[in-house]
Amino acid sequence: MTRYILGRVMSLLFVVWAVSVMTFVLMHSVPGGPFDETKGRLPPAARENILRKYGLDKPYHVQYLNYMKNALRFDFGIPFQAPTTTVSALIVKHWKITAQVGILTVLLAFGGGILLGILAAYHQNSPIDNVVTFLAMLGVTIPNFVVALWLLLIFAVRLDWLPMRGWSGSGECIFGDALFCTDWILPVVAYALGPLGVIGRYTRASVVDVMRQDYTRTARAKGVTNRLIMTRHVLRNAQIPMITALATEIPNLMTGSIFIESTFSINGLGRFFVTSVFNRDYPMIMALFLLIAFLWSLTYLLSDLAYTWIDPRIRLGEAHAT
Amino acid sequence: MNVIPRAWRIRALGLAVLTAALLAAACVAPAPAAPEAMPEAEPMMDDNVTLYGAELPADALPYSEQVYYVPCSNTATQVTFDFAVSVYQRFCSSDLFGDALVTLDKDFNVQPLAAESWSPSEDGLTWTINLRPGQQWSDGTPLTAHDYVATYRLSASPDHGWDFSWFYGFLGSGGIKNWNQVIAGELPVEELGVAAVDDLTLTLTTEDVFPPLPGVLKFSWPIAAHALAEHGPYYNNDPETSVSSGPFMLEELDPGSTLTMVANPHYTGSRPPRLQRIEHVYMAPGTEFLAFQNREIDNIGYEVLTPADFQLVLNDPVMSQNYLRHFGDFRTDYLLFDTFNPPFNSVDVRKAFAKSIDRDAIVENVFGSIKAMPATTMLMPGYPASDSEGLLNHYQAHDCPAAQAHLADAGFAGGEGFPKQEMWLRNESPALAAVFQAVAASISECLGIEIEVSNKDGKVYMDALNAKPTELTLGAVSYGMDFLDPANLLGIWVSTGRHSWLHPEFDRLVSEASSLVGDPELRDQMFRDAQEILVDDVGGAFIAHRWAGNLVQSWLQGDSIREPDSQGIAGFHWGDDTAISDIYISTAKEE
Repeated sequence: MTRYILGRVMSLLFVVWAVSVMTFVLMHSVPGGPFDETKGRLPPAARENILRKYGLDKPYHVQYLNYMKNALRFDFGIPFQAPTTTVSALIVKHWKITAQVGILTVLLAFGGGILLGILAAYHQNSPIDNVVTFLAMLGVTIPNFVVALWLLLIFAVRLDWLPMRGWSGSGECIFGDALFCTDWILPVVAYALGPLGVIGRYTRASVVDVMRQDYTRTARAKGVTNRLIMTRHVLRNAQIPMITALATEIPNLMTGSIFIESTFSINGLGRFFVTSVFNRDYPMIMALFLLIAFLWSLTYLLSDLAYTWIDPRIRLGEAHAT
Repeated sequence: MNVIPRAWRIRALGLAVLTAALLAAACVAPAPAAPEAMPEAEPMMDDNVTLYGAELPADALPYSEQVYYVPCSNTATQVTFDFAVSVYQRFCSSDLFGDALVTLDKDFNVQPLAAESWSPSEDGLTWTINLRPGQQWSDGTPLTAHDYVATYRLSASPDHGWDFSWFYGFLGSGGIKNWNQVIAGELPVEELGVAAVDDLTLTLTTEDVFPPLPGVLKFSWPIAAHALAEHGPYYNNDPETSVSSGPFMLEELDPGSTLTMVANPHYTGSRPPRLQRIEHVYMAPGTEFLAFQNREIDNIGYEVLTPADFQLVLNDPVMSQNYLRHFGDFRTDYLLFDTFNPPFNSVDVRKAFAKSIDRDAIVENVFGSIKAMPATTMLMPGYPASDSEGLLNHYQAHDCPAAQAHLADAGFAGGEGFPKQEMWLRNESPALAAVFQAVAASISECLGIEIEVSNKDGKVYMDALNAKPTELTLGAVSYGMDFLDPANLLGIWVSTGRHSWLHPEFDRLVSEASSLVGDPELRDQMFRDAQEILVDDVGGAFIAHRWAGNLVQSWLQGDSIREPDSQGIAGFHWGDDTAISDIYISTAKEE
């Protein structure tokens, strides 16, 4: 196992390096640079000056090596779009908020999705199943920015129940602002509906599949109660595909959505994915893509480890017996 | 945060309820928006008197409630409050921490602001600007001519790479003396043609005679030389180091989250505000109209209103009364061509394109007549030297048979053999992209040619446009004025500008008229002649002049925005820096 983990960590580092190379090449191949302006181009001499100031006058390979050398020391440079701070400080400041949104969204999406999926599977082909399936399909098919605008229109503007924007700023809170604030509700619900639908569908399919297995039928024939069958056999065995779903959703949810964050005026990381590209903010683009690559790799590693914990039959890194 | 009495409600709002309510509430009739609970004004003496001792109008809310709520985009990149640091990446409500030397009035006349007077030298090259005495920064330091010198020097500093530095180069002979050499690092900033004679006297020398220079001084919002030296160009980003000589000062800034300005108690300039504070509400532009309807913000710009929003505005008796349409920056939308290469090197092809655009239908049905008027010229009616009488209309007016004849003369009868074109757009919003789609459709339908519209990333577009030779064969774009003189909006068409079109006579007329003094009538006529050449030779095919506008709450009052100008237009006027100090919040907010 240790060898397996070490191997995976090495491959994680390789993935991060490969992503850094691809990102660097791609961002420099797109026409337009960070200091090409909206109305008129900077006079050539002034442009050269500013490129020199940011080290952009050097050959590409030198720029890349310089960046990576500094990145190893967690120095990702100065973002062109916020010159009074550093990329690291900017990411830490905004990711904190995005992570809060992401964690709540993960909890809601997975808690709700698993509950609804089990409910649908347990009442397979019943009206409950149909309703849950319909809602899950809605969640999957309607883009979150549409959901967000509808939620705003209904709950903030027309019913005036909830605040339109903010993150623990404009809303009312209980138990201080640590536990629950009203301005958390709309963004989290809007953000969670999509993954909730996906998880609901995954859960339903997995549970239905396990419920049809011989060992489930055997347990039922032996008189084991439905509750025990569900908790001991069905849910435990249905967790593997759910973890696969979890692994694909968590990095997405934890890096924010520009639609959700801008619609609800959450000062998170999501908008930087777009503004950095539009502004050709090279240091920020590189840092964000390295972050994503790292998160994805880490999540997949953790999900693989979770498989072994849930199902002891799975042995990672060992040759299959023939 | 306090424990709130409605906590039970919060707990009750579980996911299931929300989901169910979402579906149910969609059918609920819209409830009238509840008025925001106003914070209780503390009883105080003279609460109808501003910080500067001026009495508020009779219908104004108490001074303690003079709070102006404005939206601020949370997706835009904003790095500074100061024009001299960056023009295209400024925070919302920038330019309130200092007074420019001049401002414009409602009729776009140049009026003194920080300057008291100005006059050119006998040779017309050097302007002497006298500052109004007694102005100061919020830390008590006097505002002097040295601050303006530091401002211009910062802008021209080769290390700074100012994003507006093209502008003074664009002025050509009217540019500040040695500007191009200084930004190139060939001369030290001390050689720039800006100098302080004494604390209250500034001189500005241009490369050649340039009569519109006072209007260009509009862009002279000052940097505090002492703060710049001590804290660098971003000193205004931190309330601790920020200093203001303008009507407001920074109270709080967390970009993307919070931006609050308060009236500057040390302000001694000529636009003391009636507002006590300005609260910026960060939001996505797409949600501004919702917030406006929810009474959370007081003013939104026309750019964020979709055609559907406009329908709501125009059908609502209150909102329609409070949509203030104005000239904005006299912006014109047009098609540009690479006239140095086929097929647009043929003037017949260009004329065919220009005459095939059904501007009336496009403005009426796609743009919306509240947002635009059909255009056949570059200069919007009302702009100096514009064709307000419509004498030039016939050159580009919609006439499909004539357009087809021109295309046939160019060798492409019925569109036969005409190469398929790709029309580039510069990262336009869906509403504007629809306008240009309609333009392309109008041309295609009339001429029988194929045009594909491609909405490009802004930097990709500008890279192609500015490349020499250009990489953009056919594009759509808009341009608004930088200063109120034909030299500006016609100057962008001279052959050294960004368009790939050359007409020596046009170049001569614009160049000579730009530096002509002493004969305003001749100057005006030269610009009119130049514009005639531009539309006749179809340097560009003009589509629409934009009407700008603001949707304001009924409680936002002030003569500067409510009283019409000499052309009957009431609203925010571009370049009028005094409006922010004139507006106030009326008691209508409590209704």
